[in-house]
Amino acid sequence: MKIKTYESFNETLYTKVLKNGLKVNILPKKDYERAYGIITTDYGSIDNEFVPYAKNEMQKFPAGIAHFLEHKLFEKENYDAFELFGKYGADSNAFTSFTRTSYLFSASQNIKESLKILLDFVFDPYFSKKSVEKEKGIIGQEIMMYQDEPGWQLYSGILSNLYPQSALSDDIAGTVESISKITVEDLYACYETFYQPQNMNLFLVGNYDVNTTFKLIDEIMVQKEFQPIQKINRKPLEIKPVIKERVKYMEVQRPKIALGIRGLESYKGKEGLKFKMKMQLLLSVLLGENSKYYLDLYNQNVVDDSFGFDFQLERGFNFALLSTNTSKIEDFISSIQKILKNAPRILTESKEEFELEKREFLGSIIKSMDSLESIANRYEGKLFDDATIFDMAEILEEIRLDDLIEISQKYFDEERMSVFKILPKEK
Amino acid sequence: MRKKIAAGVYLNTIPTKKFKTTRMVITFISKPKTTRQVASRALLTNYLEMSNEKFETQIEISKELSKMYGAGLGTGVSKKGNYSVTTFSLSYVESKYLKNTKDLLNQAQDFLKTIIFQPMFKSPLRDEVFERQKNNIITYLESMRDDKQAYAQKKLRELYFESEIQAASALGKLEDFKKLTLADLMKSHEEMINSERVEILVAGNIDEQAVYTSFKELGFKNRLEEYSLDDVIFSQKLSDVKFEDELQAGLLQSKLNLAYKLPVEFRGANHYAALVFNSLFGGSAQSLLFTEVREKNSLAYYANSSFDPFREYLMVQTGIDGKNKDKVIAIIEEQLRKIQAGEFSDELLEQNKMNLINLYISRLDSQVALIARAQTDIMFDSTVQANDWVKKIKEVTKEDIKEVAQLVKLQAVYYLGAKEE
Repeated sequence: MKIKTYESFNETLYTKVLKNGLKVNILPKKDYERAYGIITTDYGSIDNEFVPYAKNEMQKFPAGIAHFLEHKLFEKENYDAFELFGKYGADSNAFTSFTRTSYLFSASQNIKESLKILLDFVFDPYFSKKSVEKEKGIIGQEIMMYQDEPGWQLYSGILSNLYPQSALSDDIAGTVESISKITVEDLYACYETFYQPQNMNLFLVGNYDVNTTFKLIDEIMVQKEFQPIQKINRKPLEIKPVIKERVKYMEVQRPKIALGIRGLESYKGKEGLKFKMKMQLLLSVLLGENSKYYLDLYNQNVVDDSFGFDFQLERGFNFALLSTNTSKIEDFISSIQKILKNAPRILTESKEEFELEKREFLGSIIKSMDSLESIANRYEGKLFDDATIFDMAEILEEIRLDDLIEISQKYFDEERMSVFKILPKEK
Repeated sequence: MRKKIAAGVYLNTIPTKKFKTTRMVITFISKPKTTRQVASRALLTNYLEMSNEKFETQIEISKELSKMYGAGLGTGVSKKGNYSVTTFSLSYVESKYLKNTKDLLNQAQDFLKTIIFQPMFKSPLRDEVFERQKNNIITYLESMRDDKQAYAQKKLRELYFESEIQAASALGKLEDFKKLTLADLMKSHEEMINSERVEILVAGNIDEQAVYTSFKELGFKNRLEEYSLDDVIFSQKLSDVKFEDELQAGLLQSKLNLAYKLPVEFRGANHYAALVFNSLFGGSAQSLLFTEVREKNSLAYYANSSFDPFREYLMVQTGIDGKNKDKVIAIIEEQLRKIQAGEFSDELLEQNKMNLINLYISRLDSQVALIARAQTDIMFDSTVQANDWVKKIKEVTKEDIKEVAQLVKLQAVYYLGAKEE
């Protein structure tokens, strides 16, 4: 067992890798009522083409299958895991992103039982033809709901501009058509490949006793049988030139616009986390609420309170997005492009803003230490070399203004920029 | 601890070492008479958040918050039955987690004091900021139309409530915002700081005496009379069921929402049974609506109910395929009938109770929830300890649920469907 103490925050993290390869982290918070647990596999919607377990050749699977599998894993031959959590008064849920799938519970009673339910249902797949067919109706409705949401359409639209014809351009849930092709055999193939314990991690935070919990996990896991480990071979993300601009017409009151920039390299380990934090700081200094450039845009009604920016870095890709609702679309594009182009100079003149944004960032890291969900969900396992939010304060301290200037000289290349607009349908 | 600071002004402290932050909330409680007053107050909070005498622009405000390590400022208005609660809140990190920083209590208090008491009503920029904030709130309310789920909720509310104030959102009505002037804001501000009931709540690792002393110096005047908060509950007479169908072009998923009246006294005899009833009906994933409409019949992506005890308002909302509308209505009504007739298992009842208890106990880990609960206690001048709450939920019987379910009366049905193009 590895013990890491974060003295300045009065927290301790206990880590153990089980014989079958599953990594388990426990962060006890004894004065909390609640216990939260999340198990994650390094498998998401972009992992559509890979060599299935015990096979030799690449195979392509229907878009949306990771999310479909997530829904179906709850259902067993003679019980439903979601209902079983309910019987013990625990809350449970799951989510699928581009590169990960997570299953979680939250309980303030029957904590041991809940942990057992989680491990049992995730490591005991059961897919049947009948239930797969039924799920197509439910997920079909989910997909339709997202198609009516302009905000989500804007996000998917800019992503498929940045990564055309790649798995990132597909919706995480797939399409009504793609999910109609999913079979029981497909689900088992994906499961066997990606739900190998060494490709997964369990994070527990809250009202846990460390020793009894590790013991309990051993007792549960020793009863399970696992196939020999097989290394996972995925097809890397296909990178084609960005689509510079596209428009979609929807029933919206005002135009919505997103400007995206695709990143170049892919980053890994602590450096990946550091790069992500640098980019977040960089965008905040340029266009956060302390920036006079933001204030100008706000005062000229080029942006309003709907304005926001985001930087995402996951396995194999990273990108920055800036979006707003506005009737001054062209002004928005040209102003943002100008600010990004002049970023190195602006940053040089923003020493005070940089220090303030660092303080702001530190405060937000410490605040999130009060949230069990933040602590556990923001743990990215291998991607950031097992860093937790408790490591972020130290990393933040190392970041210098010069680091941001250096990044800004390379990152904002017009070749990798794209615009997606949602305009009101003409009446 | 609860202490009087001035007539009608109270400080409530909740010391706890569980969190790394301290949260401070100043609330003003009033009973608006017109929707214009509601809108004025909502715009006022936005206006105060943007600039004031000391911090002329929003950047200066933002920088002050960054200096306090990203202290989070929140302002807003919410509705609790007949009353409107105006809130100014600030959360900040405890200084022992920051290097070389002294306690932020006084800085945080001074900041809130400036926000609340020193508006920019005399500044040459006052009209410009007013117009911009007014337009922003108008475009925000207009864009609510794009969120179909929120839109359907709004339409159902307007169909159900005869009172204009209750039918409006917590922010107010769009048409009222268009008419507002700076004079409305000044009047609203004057009422807020001089005559409304004030409740201050602070939770965190605090020295209660020090907090009391410093809030006493903050400058709240005595209110003219000692306010009492009676008649919090809004109650509407039963009427015939109202229906509205609306068709929109380009819509993929239809929305079907139903409103019921459910009159039970808050924290009275039927209160806990009503909470369990709502959980069983559509308030949880163990509910009949979730299992029958979504899971068994695959008819919807979401189907749930929510209960606002302060307005006796029970709402069911669903996202469905339009062609199943009648079928979904029939299934919803059947679930209510089943509960009224007691046709549900004891096991399901126990699960729903456990689920409610889990959520309630879990919220003890949230600073925001601790303050929200204290606020409700203040409004009703009563306190319920966590173990009492749990005990009362456990005591609810099948008979209690049947009784409450019979009080549920359908009042309005709103449907948003797709128009053929």
